[in-house]
Amino acid sequence: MAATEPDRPAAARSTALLALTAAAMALPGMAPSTAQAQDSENVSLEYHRYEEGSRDLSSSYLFVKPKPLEVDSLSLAAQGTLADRIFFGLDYTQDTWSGATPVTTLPHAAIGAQIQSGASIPTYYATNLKRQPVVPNYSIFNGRTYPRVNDSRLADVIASASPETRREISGKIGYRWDSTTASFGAGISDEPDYKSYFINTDGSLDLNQKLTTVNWGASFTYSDIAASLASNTAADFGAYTDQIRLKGTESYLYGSRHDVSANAGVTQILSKDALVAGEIGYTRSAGYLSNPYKATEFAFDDPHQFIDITQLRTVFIKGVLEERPRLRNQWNFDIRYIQYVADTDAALHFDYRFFHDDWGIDAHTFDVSLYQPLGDGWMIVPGARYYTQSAAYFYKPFFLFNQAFPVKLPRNPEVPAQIDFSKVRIQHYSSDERLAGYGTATIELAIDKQLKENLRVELGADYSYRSGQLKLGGGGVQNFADLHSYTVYATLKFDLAGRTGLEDYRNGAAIGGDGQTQDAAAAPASAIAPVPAGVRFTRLLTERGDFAISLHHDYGIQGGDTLHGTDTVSDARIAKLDCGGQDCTRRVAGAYAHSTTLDILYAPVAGWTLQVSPQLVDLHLDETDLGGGGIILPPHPGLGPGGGTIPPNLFHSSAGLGDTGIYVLKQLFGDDGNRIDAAVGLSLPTGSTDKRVNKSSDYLSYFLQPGSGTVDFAPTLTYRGGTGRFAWGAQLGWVERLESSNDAGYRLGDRVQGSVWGSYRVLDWLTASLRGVGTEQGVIHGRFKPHVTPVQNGYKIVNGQPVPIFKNVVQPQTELGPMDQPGSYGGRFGDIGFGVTATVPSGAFAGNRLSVEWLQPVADDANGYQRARTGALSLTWEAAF
Amino acid sequence: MKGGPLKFLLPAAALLCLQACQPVEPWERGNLAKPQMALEPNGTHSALRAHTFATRESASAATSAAGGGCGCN
Repeated sequence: MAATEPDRPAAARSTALLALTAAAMALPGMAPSTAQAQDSENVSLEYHRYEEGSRDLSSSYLFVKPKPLEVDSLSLAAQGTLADRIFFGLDYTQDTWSGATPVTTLPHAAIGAQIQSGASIPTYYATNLKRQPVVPNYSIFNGRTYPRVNDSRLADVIASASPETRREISGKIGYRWDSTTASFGAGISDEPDYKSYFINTDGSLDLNQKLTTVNWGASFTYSDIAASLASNTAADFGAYTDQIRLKGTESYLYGSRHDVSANAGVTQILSKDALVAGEIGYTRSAGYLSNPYKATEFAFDDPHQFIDITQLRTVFIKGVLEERPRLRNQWNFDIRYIQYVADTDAALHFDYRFFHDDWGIDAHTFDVSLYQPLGDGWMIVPGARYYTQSAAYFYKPFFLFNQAFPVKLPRNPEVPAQIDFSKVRIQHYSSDERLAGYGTATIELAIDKQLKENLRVELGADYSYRSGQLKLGGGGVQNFADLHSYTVYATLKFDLAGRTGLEDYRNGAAIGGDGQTQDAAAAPASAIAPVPAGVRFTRLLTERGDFAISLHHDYGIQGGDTLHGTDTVSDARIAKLDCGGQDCTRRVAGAYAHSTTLDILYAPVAGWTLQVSPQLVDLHLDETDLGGGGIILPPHPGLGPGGGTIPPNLFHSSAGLGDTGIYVLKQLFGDDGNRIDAAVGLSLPTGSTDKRVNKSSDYLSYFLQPGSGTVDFAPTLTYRGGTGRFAWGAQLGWVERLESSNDAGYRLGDRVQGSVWGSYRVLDWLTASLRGVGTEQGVIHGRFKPHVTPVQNGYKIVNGQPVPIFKNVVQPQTELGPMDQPGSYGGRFGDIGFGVTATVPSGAFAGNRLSVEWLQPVADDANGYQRARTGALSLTWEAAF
Repeated sequence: MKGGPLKFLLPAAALLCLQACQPVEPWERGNLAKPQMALEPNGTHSALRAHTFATRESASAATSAAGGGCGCN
């Protein structure tokens, strides 16, 4: 494709030739085919978004319609070689989960009964004498009974969890002999409720003149679970009373599990146009394998219950934390076939996988996709997938027992009755729909474009529909569990094979990354020496068509004393502050803000750089109760005696897409040792300012909103200079909000920041920096607007069914502490930054730059009442390719 | 296992062995080296896609990489 273009410049042709040589070296006959992936030296970055469609909630009794599940993922992977035969891989993935998913499944008739009684949770449903669920209309009594309608439907109960972020980092290192490879790896996956630690090994062996490759792998994973049951307090803790303990003021379920996995496979070249790969895998999982956020409904239909003149029976229901077996053996059989289609230069991929486990689940996956090159570096990849599984033997939407409700004695009259499990004949139970029988059909489309010799971009999307009716052989779950879902993604892949970095580096070309070759020639290297990790807008491109990316991660921590201006204040004083007409009851214990920003740079015209900077944020706010007006926690089995003033929730988190910056960068001045650059742009409000407290229409505090909600003007002016090993610089940047308020009713304060730094090149590849930073940010203007909360106000009967009537009540935003007050944001702050920057001097990753900087606060003058800052960490990776 | 996978896999394995007898010389492997013929043309996406499916479905592949987290929601 690119290599056949007639008018490409000589340099590009030689690179293309290099790439072709590299491709030829990757031929199965010329290099170890098994290590195709291990041979390559590349970096790839992917943003991936999964979103579920709205579930059928028409039957549910919900004040606020919850948002469906959304998962934003970011993945960064690098692989390369350290020496001739040593290869490595590094992976980082983060996913942020937010939105609502089912907690349990109920007979729909129980929701009808709940609406009529106005109860906070469903506790029973009625049946007729044939034991069919019915919804009686209790508002009409004809002297003998109530009119009723049959209702055998099922309904999901949906609940939101606080958005939270999982981070996984893993690495591997391996060695390649002539026909054999072996590698070892390890990694950690970390999220608030679940931590996994894993080690793995794999290897391969080429046989039969490299027509056959045998591969194997094994892994061990240990996971610790600490799940808050705050959103599941109505459920009976069932078998887990020993595993549930208080952490702070919330009950947590603790557990652990381990997974051992092994797999072996063969890849066989069948002809010059086809290959096949088969693999067998086995996984043994043991320990706590249940899902702490899922409850199962137990329904008790007492055969001896008294039936009055109405001829209605009553079935009592109770949610119980699900319990799965503590052991699971799983087998996988996978076969893939790839056929080259000579007529169109395409490749057809077929993949069939069979899964079997001793929980009774058999699953089949069929995957087919066509990789069709279109010329000029374009490729289109349509695909389809069909997945079907049978149900686990312990799955039911709910469990019906033909017995009276077995009340656990002695009964505490202050809390709902608990179940005496010694009187229930059941060992394992789950109503998690992922264990039901169903099928899922997926269609996929990806478009791939080779942008430069070593840069590829792929954009893709898929749509899936899950339904019990799609289950192979029929008999799938009812349609309450139907689900639509969507995925979109973008991948950038940099191929580093063939780079001769060291020479480029010595010539200064790689110092600023791609496109700065001309700068290097025009100014000494010191003027474009690395800047500290926390300094932005210093990467400028020169040639038309140049392209670059940088990735920044900032982590700010506020965990010091509470400040009012520059003075430390006591909790007693905060407890006397006015919070919406009442004393404040909470203060911030710690505030933690992560933000990951990707700078995508492109030069549409020589000398002008366009920068687009999307952002993912992950925010945590811990609050301390000041004892002024907490909620009394009732005694609860497994929690010990209750009582005391204890707030219901002390930990809040939020996450998601942040605001997106769009900037234009331009060099204003440059001579032998100095340069001045300007960046002018807008920050667009792509981040939400509508994150709410669970089960409430109140907003989360200002700190926890991922976006500003306003269009902001954000200019920056940067000076850089240097001589020899020394370099210095200064930057002034400010943010001005262009709108008077966002949709939530407020706007953040404007911000001005100035910094001055000096750096010294300690080694050819290592630079140390010292920086002084001053920041001023204004208070928040306006405040969260009052919000309308629908409150149930009776019900009416429509087609025999009770339908709740809501009335709208306007309520002001609840204020619990200074973090809910606009005046307690911003201030004047001073910091000193200590940083180092490493530039890879040679090899495939030459010119890539990794910077770290710690900002140590030295002066705080906080507006209102705020927690003092502990510090901030900045990490920057400037990709060179 | 009710013989399900074996019924499918044994003939496939036999076919594989028969086919493997046909030699493919190194200079005949140009098509096999094309990017669209790789087992995983976009490995990063394949990993994220597999992770998404694994958290929404019961079947998950046994891989040597493991990890993956809760996926409880």
